[in-house]
Amino acid sequence: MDEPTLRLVEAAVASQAPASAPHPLRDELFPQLDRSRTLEDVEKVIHSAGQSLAWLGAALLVDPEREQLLRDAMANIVPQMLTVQDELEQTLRAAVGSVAARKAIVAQETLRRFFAICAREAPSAAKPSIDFIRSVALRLALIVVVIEHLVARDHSLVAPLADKAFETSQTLRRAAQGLGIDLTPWADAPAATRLKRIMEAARGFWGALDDDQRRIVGEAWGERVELPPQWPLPSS
Amino acid sequence: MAATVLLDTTVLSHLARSEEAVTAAFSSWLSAGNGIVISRVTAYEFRRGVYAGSIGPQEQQAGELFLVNFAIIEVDADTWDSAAEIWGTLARTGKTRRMDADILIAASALRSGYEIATRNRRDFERIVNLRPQRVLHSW
Repeated sequence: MDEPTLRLVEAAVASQAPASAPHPLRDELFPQLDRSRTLEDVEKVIHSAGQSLAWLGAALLVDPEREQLLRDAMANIVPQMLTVQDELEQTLRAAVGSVAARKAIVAQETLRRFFAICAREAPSAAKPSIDFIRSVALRLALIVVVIEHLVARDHSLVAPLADKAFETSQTLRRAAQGLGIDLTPWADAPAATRLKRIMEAARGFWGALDDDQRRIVGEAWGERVELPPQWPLPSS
Repeated sequence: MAATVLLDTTVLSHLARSEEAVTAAFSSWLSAGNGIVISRVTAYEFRRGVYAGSIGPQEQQAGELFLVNFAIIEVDADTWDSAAEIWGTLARTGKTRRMDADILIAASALRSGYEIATRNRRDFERIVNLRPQRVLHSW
């Protein structure tokens, strides 16, 4: 299976490191992953990679003045992150079920939206905000790369990693929103893709409920928020 | 020119059920290159329903994975003030009972220049008629 997130991170690495240097993903991250047996081990590997590759976070938020090659690579690879989603989701669903698969895809899509926006224009904000966004984007990129790597090898760790990816993607989305950047999944995708994703999620939710649950949920949706007709006055 | 519509809770809940008419209207809207948003009030009402069903974590997560597809417009201080003004005007001409959520949702749309899609045309018409330049879609 194609791994565009990995290729994108590799392009960022190539823009910063000499080709002869040990590759931080293929030569360091993946061998450590392949030796990991528990989620805790994988978490440690991702955390450690996030720290040792902190410089990569800066490279991922491209400076358009300096990094034309990386910008070109992003412009080429980011659309492939969209086209690979159906196949990736299918593989994930077969391995870990539909909810975990959808979580991982939403996380990958949030990352794609972020890179698509960065490829056009690097976000500008105060340094602490940018540093935070860089670190969250790098962590999310690493988790997605790890999921893409592990799904073909060790299914047992993919579901909890999908949870982590989803949580991290929502942290990135909130942080970006603070800078006025909208990372709503598929907001820039073709209408048919966006519609398909939304309706699949709708069926995934409504189809998971039994009749009694549907009735209760439907009744709650039918209610309106209502404030008390008169606020109680303090007793005198 | 592309427009953005704010979906009210009735539209979002029918979309979650894949109801045919709403899905068709939604599909046409997206296919024309238009945008969609929801209000924080609608996100609240949607989640309220999900939790009310005493649903387990898997189903709650599935609900969240539906909701995550929509940009949420926050109800800021100006929107609250605008909603109060709308409520006051409506109170002089008719009922306001059970309309707080609709008023907040409409105030969010009116302040941001969004069109509104609802399945509760009667109540929203009263609100939107206060700002006749705004567009109301009945899905």
